[in-house]
Amino acid sequence: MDDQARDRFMEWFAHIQPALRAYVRALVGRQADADDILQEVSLALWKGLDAYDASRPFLPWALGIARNHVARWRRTQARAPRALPDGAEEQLAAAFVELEDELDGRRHALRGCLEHLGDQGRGLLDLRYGQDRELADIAQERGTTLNAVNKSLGKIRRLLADCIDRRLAQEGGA
Amino acid sequence: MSGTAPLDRLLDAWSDGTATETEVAELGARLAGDVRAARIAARHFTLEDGLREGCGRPAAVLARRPRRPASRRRWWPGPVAAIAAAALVALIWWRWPDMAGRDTGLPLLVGEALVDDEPWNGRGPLPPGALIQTRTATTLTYPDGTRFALEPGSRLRLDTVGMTTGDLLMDGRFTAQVARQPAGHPRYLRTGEARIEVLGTRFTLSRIHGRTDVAVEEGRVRFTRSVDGSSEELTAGGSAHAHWSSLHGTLVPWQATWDWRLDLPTDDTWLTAPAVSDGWQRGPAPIGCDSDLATVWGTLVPTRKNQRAPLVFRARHDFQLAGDAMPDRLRLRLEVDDGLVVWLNGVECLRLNLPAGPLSAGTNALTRVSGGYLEHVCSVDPTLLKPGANILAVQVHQYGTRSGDLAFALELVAP
Repeated sequence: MDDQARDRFMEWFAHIQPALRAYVRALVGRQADADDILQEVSLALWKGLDAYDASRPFLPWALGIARNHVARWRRTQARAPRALPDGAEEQLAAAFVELEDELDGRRHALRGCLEHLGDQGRGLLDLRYGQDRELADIAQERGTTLNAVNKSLGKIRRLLADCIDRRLAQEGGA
Repeated sequence: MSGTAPLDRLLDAWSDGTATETEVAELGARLAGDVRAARIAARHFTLEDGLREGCGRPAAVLARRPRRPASRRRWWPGPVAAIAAAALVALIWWRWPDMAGRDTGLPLLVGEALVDDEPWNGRGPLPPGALIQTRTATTLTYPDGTRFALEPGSRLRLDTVGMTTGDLLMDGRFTAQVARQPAGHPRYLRTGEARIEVLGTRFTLSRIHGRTDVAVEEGRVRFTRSVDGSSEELTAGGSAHAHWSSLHGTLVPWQATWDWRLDLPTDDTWLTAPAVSDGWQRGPAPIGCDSDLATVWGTLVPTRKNQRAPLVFRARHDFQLAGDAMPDRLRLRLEVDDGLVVWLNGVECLRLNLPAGPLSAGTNALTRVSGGYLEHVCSVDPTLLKPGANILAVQVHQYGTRSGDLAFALELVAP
């Protein structure tokens, strides 16, 4: 593969990395496991340069390799980790491909929405996503129930999703 | 939960790890059968990923400026970042004599990378023999001003003894700007297939799938192929490559099918028996577990109940050799995590990272191979081969009971 093709690969990889990361994290759940798999997938993509047909879209190829890695990772786990039934992971990958540009926009819009979130909400998000803590753990620390934490997180996510929708609508109408 | 649960509740339960089996099944069915549900899920998981990225990084990241369009993005982070990085390197370089001494010969690293499996903290020179795995574009700057710009996904092992044998590029690609070296003291670089001798120049070196490529932009380098010792001097605009398999007759290819099993035998008959008995499994190399060697390309062996790798496994590969084509040279290239013994037709021809003497299931490798695998190239006595059926056998050992990875792959060629 020539230099130009390699440069193109680097550019494509930088572009699809967020979608790839979101997809693997969606399938795997635990952040540390997802990060390990992502590292392997990145390496596999790099090693598989020669096998990649540059005339075809890059993201579906990358997501396919990621799916294989997740499957292999599951087989190596003593306790079978959670897995979506047949067809769901493929359909989810197809949605990531179809919405690639929109999801990129949502990612940027999220940053603006987070700035308007209150301290309480930020604290909860930091525990769940920044520190990758289990819900039960958070509930214990906050002296509340798992169900309450579950509901609070769900509410914050919906608020943020609404905020993102509004921002994208404003940008689209501007 | 009933079959009509709201999709967002199912996604929440999935994301938070609280979903029941019924909920997982329902979520899966909805995603598989409804394109709109899959789109909603993709938005949900993108939001979650954004939250992980936003919450897991400094607050400044949340307010960073919008990204440039994909078509304009390059690995180089832009002039401001470049100046900042250069200033950082210059500052550390200025302070370096106080920190470690200029004669260490060890580089500074700017970028995001694992060093010996740990994220590098960015302070001070790298340790000798360090294994660097780049996650982003990464620059190594040596005390003499030599710079290597490594691409993401590259793996480079630093020389363990100054600059006598040279840093080893295991995978990936980098561009080198080598400062003028003292007369009679060239800088060396290595890959599995070649050695590069540099006096001061600019060139690009890559290693992908066991093929080494070098392209010289300025100055001169000497490129020597490991397998046959052939050498050529390259000047500006020149290029060369070395590919192990394409140059030679391959007796045992890298991805050959092997018979393997996890237990150890009571005697050595398996090394020479005409065929394997019951209880063996078959699969292509690389063989092992929790190693990119096996996970990406080859055969996975099962882990133990505690998710650790098995302590030992053995494998053998049978191959035929025509009587009129007996080679007079044999070369073995292998990658292993952690140690192994190789037999050719029942005769031990290599023992790597294992103690001398009899081996048992409790024999540990001498050193732990971290962050990848041990790469080795050596000659093998060609008189061990015989016309007709030949057997190559290996026994792979773990470093310790707590290690999670174990793997090997090898290639036997007749130059």
